[in-house]
Amino acid sequence: MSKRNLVVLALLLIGWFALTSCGSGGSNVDVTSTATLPAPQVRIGLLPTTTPEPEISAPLQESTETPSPALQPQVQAWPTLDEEQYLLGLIDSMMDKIERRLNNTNTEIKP
Amino acid sequence: MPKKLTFKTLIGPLVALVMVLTMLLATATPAFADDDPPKPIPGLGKVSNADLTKMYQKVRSWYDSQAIVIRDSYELAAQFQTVIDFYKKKGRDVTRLEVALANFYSDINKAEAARVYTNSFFTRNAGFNGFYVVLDRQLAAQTILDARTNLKGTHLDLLKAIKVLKQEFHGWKRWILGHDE
Repeated sequence: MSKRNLVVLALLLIGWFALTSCGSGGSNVDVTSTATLPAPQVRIGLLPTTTPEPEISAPLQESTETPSPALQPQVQAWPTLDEEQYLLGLIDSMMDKIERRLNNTNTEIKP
Repeated sequence: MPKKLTFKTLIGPLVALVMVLTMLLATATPAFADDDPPKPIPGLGKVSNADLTKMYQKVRSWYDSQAIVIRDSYELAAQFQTVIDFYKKKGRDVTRLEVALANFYSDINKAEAARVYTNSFFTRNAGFNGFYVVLDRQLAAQTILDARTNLKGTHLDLLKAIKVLKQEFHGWKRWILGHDE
């Protein structure tokens, strides 16, 4: 085997080890606890209760007659989500969730 | 005249180079991997090093779960305040809720302080290396026992706090619903 071949072989070996060491970054991985998604923040002011009624511009009439009540269009409201019930229900479910997690915690550490 | 480089003259240094690199790149091996019979430890009984590692991982997992509970408790407290504000605007009596919330905040603040203290055990990691491998049995056992004691205390405190809050909230809810009628 010539001197040149040996030098090439040595360089290849060094290169291979360098690449291997670059790839073994397992211990440097930054392990952080993953936070779960926060509970949905519902803005109370934006809860849909009813659809706003459209403004109806009544025609100007100069008459002495008693005007008959204007026909109000029948607006179909959103399914009513009672704000009060929603708030109370949310508190209940949050408390239940916490209690459930605490009760399900395995406090026995022996294998 | 310089000596001609041959494979025979280079094989020695090459083998040495491979050995040095292998040692440098090798990951840590468990110190007691092949010698791990269960031995008694005060407070834990007969446990092997593998058992200590498992127990450490369990208390660590418990700690993570408790941290989530504390975070959820703060979110609950914030939502509770929203309810108080909502009923205050309607002119209802929310004194009972306000007292309950103040107590709950006090409890979760204590739990948070306890969580930080427990975290210090995991930061110190006494008796273990960074790969959950036992380096010192006594220290490792002490870390597990201390962490467990703190976690258990905080666990019971949180359980009590949420039960009291629930009780107060339901009591107030019954009262306010009856009040509405």
